[in-house]
Amino acid sequence: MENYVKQHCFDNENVSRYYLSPYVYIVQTDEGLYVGREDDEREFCFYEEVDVYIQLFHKLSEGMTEGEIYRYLEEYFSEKSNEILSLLIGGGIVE
Amino acid sequence: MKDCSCSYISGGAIEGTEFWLNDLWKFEAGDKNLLLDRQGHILLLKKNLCNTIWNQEISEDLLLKLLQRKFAYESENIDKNGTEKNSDIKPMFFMIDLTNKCNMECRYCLRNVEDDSDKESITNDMIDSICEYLAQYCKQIGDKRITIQPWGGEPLLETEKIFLLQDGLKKRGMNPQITIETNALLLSKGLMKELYQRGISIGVSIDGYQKIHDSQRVIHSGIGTHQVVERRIRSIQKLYGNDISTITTVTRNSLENLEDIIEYLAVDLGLIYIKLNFVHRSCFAMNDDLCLYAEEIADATIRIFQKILELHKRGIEVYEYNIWLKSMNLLTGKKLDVCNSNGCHGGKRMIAIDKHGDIFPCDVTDFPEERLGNIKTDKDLIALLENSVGEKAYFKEKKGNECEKCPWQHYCRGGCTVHMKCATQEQDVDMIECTINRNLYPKLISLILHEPERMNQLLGYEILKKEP
Ligand code: SF4
Ligand code: SF4
Repeated sequence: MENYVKQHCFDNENVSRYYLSPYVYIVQTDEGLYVGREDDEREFCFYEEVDVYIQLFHKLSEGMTEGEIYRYLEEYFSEKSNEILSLLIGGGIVE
Repeated sequence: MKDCSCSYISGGAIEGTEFWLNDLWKFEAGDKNLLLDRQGHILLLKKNLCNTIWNQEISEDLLLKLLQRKFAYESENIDKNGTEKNSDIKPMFFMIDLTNKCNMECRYCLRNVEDDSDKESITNDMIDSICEYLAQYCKQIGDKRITIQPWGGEPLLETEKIFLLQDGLKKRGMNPQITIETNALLLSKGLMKELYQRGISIGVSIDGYQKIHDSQRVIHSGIGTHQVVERRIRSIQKLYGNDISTITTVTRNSLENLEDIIEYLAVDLGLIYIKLNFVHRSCFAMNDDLCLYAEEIADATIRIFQKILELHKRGIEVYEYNIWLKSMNLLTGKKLDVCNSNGCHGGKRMIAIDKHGDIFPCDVTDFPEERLGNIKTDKDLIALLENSVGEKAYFKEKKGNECEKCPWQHYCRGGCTVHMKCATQEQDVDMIECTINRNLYPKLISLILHEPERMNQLLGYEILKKEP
């Protein structure tokens, strides 16, 4: 179980930060990393840089700004960073 | 423990945006609010931030949180109830009824162990057919992560069949999780070791300390089994460490001593994973004197909750499955349990197969009218279940007058189909589960709002972030 996933209590300060959704599931297999929402059918599989995603999810469970996520992704995925960021937010993985 | 207040808020347009707010329940305590929607999502907010929703001063940041949590929708997309999809039909939990023989005669047992007419166990051929059936099924759904529970009677009377089942599945490229619930009488050290080496997990039935256990769990001659069972539990602990769970049945006979029983399990035996079940009134109860009413069961559930909190305060680590599960329901939305995470999912996420290969939606193999099909004739399990959902009374929606406006509906959905079926009076919902939910969930929400660290202890990890 992803016991780093957290339920945060939002206030005026942290509401602008992004967090890993408490409704995600993360399953690591030989093929790659499956990440999805428990409450709908959205699921993504990341085949490469699995450790990079796992580390990102750990960081996100504590909260990050959009800029921080972007800079983290940029280091590993350069021009694909924007696409990945919108996928994570659009897919409800990050909220 | 302090309580919290609750109000129901009907959804509507969020002014100045093209979004709609879903119906929700708002719980308040101190400077915090907890919002709960019809699909079981929660959102924790400081009161002043929460008030901006109703003062129409909602910020873009908060709107994004509401959208991501599904509290808000694009107007044309609104799906208030989160209707069930056919994709929810995908059994991953299989009970295999090996035998109805038993080497004990517990005072509250529902199975008619005195009836000798049908005491045959499953055959080796049938085990092989079940292995083939499950292997084909896993191939069809592209997922091998199934769990199997060999069931009885006492499953260890058919230990060889359990191993045959495991080996048969392994031969077909599968390695399912196997779990057994046993009365432990046959658990010799040698057998324990073999189960351990095979990765089979064990749950042991123990009803409390000697006086209580021996008044309920006896062999045919009437002699209590406590001494043996306690010894077995200590041996299992040496081998499995903390990875042993116990199942305790609470009856009218033991109700008064509930706290002492939990103390015994958690402190004297040092068990971490315990589960308490209740004997309730039903048309099948063999011994009415031992049965409890719904209100008594709900009251006892709160006592269990309080006792667990008290043990945590004393630094003792212990998790009671039902309390843990309902806390997980609220905080993670994971559908961890076939019965109590999102209503009864018998025949959808679980099936039982009996010794004739007949398929049932749950371990209701004693009710012929609940038979859905047979592994020999119904090769496509998903198709069989999809058809059955539309046809069989078992799958009928359970809804009482109060369910529509009930905050716990997503988790409960009218409770256990079999409880309802066996109730002594006709009911629209399972009144036992209903009464438990209506008493327990508000207490869990109070704990989340007032004492998040204690909720973290209840779950065993820091899911609620410490506030600065
Ligand atoms: S009928 Fe009851 S025991 Fe069976 S799956 Fe449904 S809720 Fe669980
Ligand atoms: S059965 Fe009771 S607890 Fe369950 S949804 Fe209906 S009113 Fe709520």
